[in-house]
Amino acid sequence: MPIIWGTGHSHAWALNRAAMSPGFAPQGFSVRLPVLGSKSFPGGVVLSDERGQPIINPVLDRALPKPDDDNVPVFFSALFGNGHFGLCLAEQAPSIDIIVPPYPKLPERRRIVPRDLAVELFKKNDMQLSVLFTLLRAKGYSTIVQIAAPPPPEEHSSQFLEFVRSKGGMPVPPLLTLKAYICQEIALRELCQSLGAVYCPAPERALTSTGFLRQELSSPDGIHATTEYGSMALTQAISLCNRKEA
Amino acid sequence: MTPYGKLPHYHWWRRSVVGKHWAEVDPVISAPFQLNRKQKIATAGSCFAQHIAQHLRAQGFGYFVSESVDDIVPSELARRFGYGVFSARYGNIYTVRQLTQLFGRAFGTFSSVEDVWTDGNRFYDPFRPFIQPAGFSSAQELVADRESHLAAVKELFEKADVFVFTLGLTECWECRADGTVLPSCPGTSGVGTYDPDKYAFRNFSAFEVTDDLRKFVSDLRKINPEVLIILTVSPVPLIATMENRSVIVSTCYSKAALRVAAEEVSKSEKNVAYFPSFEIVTSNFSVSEMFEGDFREVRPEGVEHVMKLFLRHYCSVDSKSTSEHLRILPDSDETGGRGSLSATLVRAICDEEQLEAQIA
Repeated sequence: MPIIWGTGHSHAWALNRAAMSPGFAPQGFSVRLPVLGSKSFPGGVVLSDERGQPIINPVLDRALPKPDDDNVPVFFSALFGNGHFGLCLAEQAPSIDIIVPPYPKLPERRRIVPRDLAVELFKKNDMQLSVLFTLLRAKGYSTIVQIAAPPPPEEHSSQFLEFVRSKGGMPVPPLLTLKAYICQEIALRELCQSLGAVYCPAPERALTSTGFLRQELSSPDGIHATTEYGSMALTQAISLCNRKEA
Repeated sequence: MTPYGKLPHYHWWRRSVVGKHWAEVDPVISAPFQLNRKQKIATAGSCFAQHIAQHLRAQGFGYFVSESVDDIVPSELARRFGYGVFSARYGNIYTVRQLTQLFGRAFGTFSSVEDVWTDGNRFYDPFRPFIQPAGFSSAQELVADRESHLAAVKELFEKADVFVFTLGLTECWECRADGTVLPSCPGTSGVGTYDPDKYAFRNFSAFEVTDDLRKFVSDLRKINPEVLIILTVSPVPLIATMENRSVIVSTCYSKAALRVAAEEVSKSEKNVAYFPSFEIVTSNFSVSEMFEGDFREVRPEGVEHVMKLFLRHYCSVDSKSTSEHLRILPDSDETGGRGSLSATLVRAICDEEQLEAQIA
């Protein structure tokens, strides 16, 4: 039976909870999501060996199922893809805006960050993925699926506001985080295309008409998503995977 | 006995040049004012002006940047998008007319018929067509970015304590409709479309350059009366000429006209200085040592020598090698060793080279 083996940064929690929930039973697959969170990979997802050659972090490598005739693993990655929060969580000085039509320019005078620069920045940030995917290919993982992080909700949760303010920051308008998310998405899409990986965007039915995460699917921390969202995302990823396998 | 008899050594070729190694020759006698580390120093001009920015920053002078990007963006990536190359994100300003029009656009006294150039789903700013790779992703983005850019340019002119401008070219392309001057010929590297009915070649006379420079100094002083201005002429030859003659002849004309304008204005305007980077690089005693094999690109040693003299006379910094200080530049860890560091530093971003790239 093909195994879906997944891992990721903190936004993979929703996928993990969905995969472990009793009602979740994807047809023809078994799902394993054993390692989560960036702290699980000290030093990064990929490291260098003594000769300077890239290797998969041994913590991750040891946990990977070994491909054989009866076991065709598919790698689900929810790694990276959350750089939009790195750029657009709290206001900077001076505050910034990214112009992403059809979304409007933010009203106040803000420094414009070129959209393509934001995309390049995220690509640089996600660069470990291209090394990881290449190493996984060499190990026999023929199908790799990159699952998008959830987009931000349209309104900040009280927990989010409290968190940002406790750090002495001012929360950015959610529209700015969404614009950064779209840049992040462009970066990941292009990266996946260049690496022959499948890109799985946030499920459409999880979004509002303007592209935000539906409020009820956002976790109280305002950054992550609920189990229900995880289930939608995982189901869509499996469906994309099946389509590719077919 | 003639008045020549009492003149100091630097008036005499034999005494100041003959028998000296080129690196010992110093044609700068005195600077009319000194720069200090508290001043905000802004730069603009042709690609050679970028070296001044890099060296001042490396020496811990207050290099003024009014249009920056967040620190989380690596310096190499920021530079590819035109940040930190000059004090604002205007790219190379080759002609004085381009500078006066930029000033006018920032202060709302000049507007242009040229707006946005498009190529499929990419959008280019005619006033800085190569400011970022492949232009802008939307017309809205370009317009918003330009608005933010011009606000930064306005702030720069209002707040700079020192403005260093390197005069680069007399040749340019302008819009027939309203005289807007462009930094490159439309169509260069596939950006914009050349239309002879819309655009015309123009080669400014020494008088026109001088008038433009005077106008710029006057306009700048109206909004920033105390600003100190340093003029230099780029020693880099033209990459191509549109005049029906040799590029060598056009280069000589262009540099001569710019030099005359710099002389006229620095002699007649208070607190405007001329720094002879052009002479340091192109004089007989040094020219064979100063250029790379293409006789156009200035060697790292040449740039370093120019900057050493600039820092000595204007900043009271005397060092054997300015590259010692350049090691603290943010990019230095991305280069390997001193040679490649220098090579990186002299590899200034030159929009004019786009012209050559398209015929390569």
